[in-house]
Amino acid sequence: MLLIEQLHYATTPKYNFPQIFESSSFPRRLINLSLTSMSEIRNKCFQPWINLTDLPSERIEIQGEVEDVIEIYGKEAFSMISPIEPMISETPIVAIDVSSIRIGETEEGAICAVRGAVVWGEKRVYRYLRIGPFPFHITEDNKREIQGLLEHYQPLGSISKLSFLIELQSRLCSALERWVQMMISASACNSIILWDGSLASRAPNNSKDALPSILKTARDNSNVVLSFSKASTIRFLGRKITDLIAKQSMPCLLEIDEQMLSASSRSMRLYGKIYVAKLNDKGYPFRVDIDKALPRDLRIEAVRKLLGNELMFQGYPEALRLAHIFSTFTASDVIGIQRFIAKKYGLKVVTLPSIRKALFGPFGTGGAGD
Amino acid sequence: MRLYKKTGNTMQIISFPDEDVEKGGYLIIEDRKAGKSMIVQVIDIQFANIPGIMEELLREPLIDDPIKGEDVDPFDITSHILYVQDARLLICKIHGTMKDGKISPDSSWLPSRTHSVIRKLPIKRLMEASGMRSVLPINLGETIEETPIVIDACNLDGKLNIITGRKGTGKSHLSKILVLGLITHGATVVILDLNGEYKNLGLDINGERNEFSDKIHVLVPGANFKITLSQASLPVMMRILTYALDLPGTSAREFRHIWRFLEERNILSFHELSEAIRRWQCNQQVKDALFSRYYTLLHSNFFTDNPSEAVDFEVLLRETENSGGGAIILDLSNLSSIDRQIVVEYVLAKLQDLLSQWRIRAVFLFAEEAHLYLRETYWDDVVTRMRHFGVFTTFITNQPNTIRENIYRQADNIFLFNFVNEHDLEIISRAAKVDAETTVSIVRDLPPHYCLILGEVVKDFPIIAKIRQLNVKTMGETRFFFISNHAAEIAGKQAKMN
Repeated sequence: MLLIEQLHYATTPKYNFPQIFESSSFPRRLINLSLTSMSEIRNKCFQPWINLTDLPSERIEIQGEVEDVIEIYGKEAFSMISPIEPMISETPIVAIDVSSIRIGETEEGAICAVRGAVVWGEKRVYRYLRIGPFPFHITEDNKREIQGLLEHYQPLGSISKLSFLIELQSRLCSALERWVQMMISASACNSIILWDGSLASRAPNNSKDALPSILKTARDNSNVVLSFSKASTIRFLGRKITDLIAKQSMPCLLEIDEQMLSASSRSMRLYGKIYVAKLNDKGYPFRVDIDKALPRDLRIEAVRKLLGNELMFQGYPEALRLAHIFSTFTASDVIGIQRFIAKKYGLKVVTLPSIRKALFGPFGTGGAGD
Repeated sequence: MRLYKKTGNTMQIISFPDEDVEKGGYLIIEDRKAGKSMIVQVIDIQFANIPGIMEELLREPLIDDPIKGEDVDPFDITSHILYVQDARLLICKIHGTMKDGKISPDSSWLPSRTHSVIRKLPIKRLMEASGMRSVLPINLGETIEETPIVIDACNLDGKLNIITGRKGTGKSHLSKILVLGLITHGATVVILDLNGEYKNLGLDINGERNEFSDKIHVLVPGANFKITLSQASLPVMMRILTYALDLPGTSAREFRHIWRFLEERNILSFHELSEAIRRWQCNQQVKDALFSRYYTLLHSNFFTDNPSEAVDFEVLLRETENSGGGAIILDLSNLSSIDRQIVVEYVLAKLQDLLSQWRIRAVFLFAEEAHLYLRETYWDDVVTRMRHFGVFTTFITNQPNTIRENIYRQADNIFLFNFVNEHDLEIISRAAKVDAETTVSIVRDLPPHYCLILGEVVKDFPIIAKIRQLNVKTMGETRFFFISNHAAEIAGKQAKMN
């Protein structure tokens, strides 16, 4: 269990961010891995990723982490809680998000960068902590070393040879996310912790899964973890579950009985109770997973506290929205990182010819028409 | 700095925040493989168009934003991101090529983007390379790089110059530096001083006589500058009557007869002129026309029948020339519009007359707000005939539209101070010595006392100069109401009048 200094939200006027670099070996190992992987590319050629106008807005999902379409059988699977009354309690809201981006390619592999962000909201005043960016050079040669670091935070299944670059980038991102989640769960107390995504895992039975441990740490500190998914694969009669309460005018929750989920859900470990939440009348409905080890009353109370203590932007918590904004890479971030690695590691920037463009000219679809 | 784009004679260069580049400065793009370098001048500095910058700025909290936070950035990558965000785009104009230390106007080649090295080209080095010699130096002040800017008086010789800029930016100050520089090198300068600004050139800041005091001759028409009719001569008089006083042709013909009549009898005087007009056998309307002009001339106080009261302008010019140069300042400040035109017409006609007969060598004429006293036909004379006679004019104005377009096009040197008005900028951009974009972009942002110098004095490399202070009493005669010693000033003026 990682120990970390507790945050004191109400009393201290100063920022009291977690002393992350002193209390855990992970960041040191992460930095070392970044340094070692990057040092291997000194004085080599580097093709920057230049499609800056079309930066990916969504994270790359790890193959095997993506939820299959889950069907719900029977109307009795739902129970509606409406209206949800806001509870004003000055409960701190902490949101976590991470993102990764591809920076360029080398002859041996790819360079990517990951960055995390934590946003604290208290009395609707927000503060942030940005962690990173950390650049990594992922190659076939250092794959095992990276996997070694990730094992604890992001259990690995089998990775296909073809997609390992993309998957390792995503796993690095997830590992950073799990580590930040762990730090916050351990350091915050009496808070509502917001994550991006779901509380589901497809980790093999024999591997260590960090998720239950993080949730337990959060519970031990009287925190409640709520995880917001912008898109859900759970469907009822072919329709997305979020559509079921789209027309509700009052803040409401739709509780889903997991016993009524299709067999495909059984390959996943669901650590959260699944809800569909519409948190303001003109907002969007979202799938929200709440730590299912908590009693039902506490789960509902957490949503009420969220409503009472947090701004909602289109039905989405503001702290989580800010965390996403702070972690996401913009085009100038990418250029800045490209400049950093070109300068620090003496990389020669080259533009390799595009076979697609050479063959098809303006009809080279960039892969869209493969 | 990195070369980014070239369009026409405009070069775009990417510059980073730690590179000290100023608008108006010069850069040299060295292409070692091509063995030559391109000289460009920065005419504008813009933000580089960084993709995603809008998102970045929206994301970054403001100083007083409620969202505050920290970055854990062990690699210090954020500094590189900020460095990129602060990248600037330098809009530059190509001014030639340097090869083996020699400058040529060639701009037909393209330096390599990948292996060109871009450096600042110190203006001092540019001036040396372009062959700016100072045989007869006039120190104007300093460049934006704080190196001295010294022009050669030879580059004003035989040239047409313009000094223009907004009110209070330092035009008259520069023209005084040029005047004193010219007289130091022995030139004869005639100044048409509209506001009485130049009359103290012979005094230092404390009002004491300075080293120029013996070379400064202030002529106040009607006071210490009067002429006799015989000094004026018939051709000069005819020009005054025709151009300054609009005398019709028939009356002018009668006046010529009267003049010759008086001249033949050796009785040419103002008193006799009046009598002759009265007795002259001619149409009454002609007589009335002649009388009205006669009284205008009389009331100007510029003419006298007393030869001891009169100033021989020719003698004054020759003395000035022979004594190693000097300035003759015609104080026009207290004259009416008509009187001003009479005096200027006389002076210019006399100059032309003397120069055409080679009785004097050449004269540098400084004309402040010349549209207020120069007749229409003189503008063309100035740029054509008078230059060949040896009148080298410098126009000084804060209204650039009062100078004709052809004067801008033919000016050899232009000293531009700040303008912000689009209309004024459009007019000065017609100067042929440089492209309109350079003029407008630089002049718009010039602080007071800075001027953009174009033309032969800077070998056609536009240079921004900060005009130096002068140890002479340069203040004009502007009268203020709200001054601290208002009462004391009034008392002083009243005492003077008494």
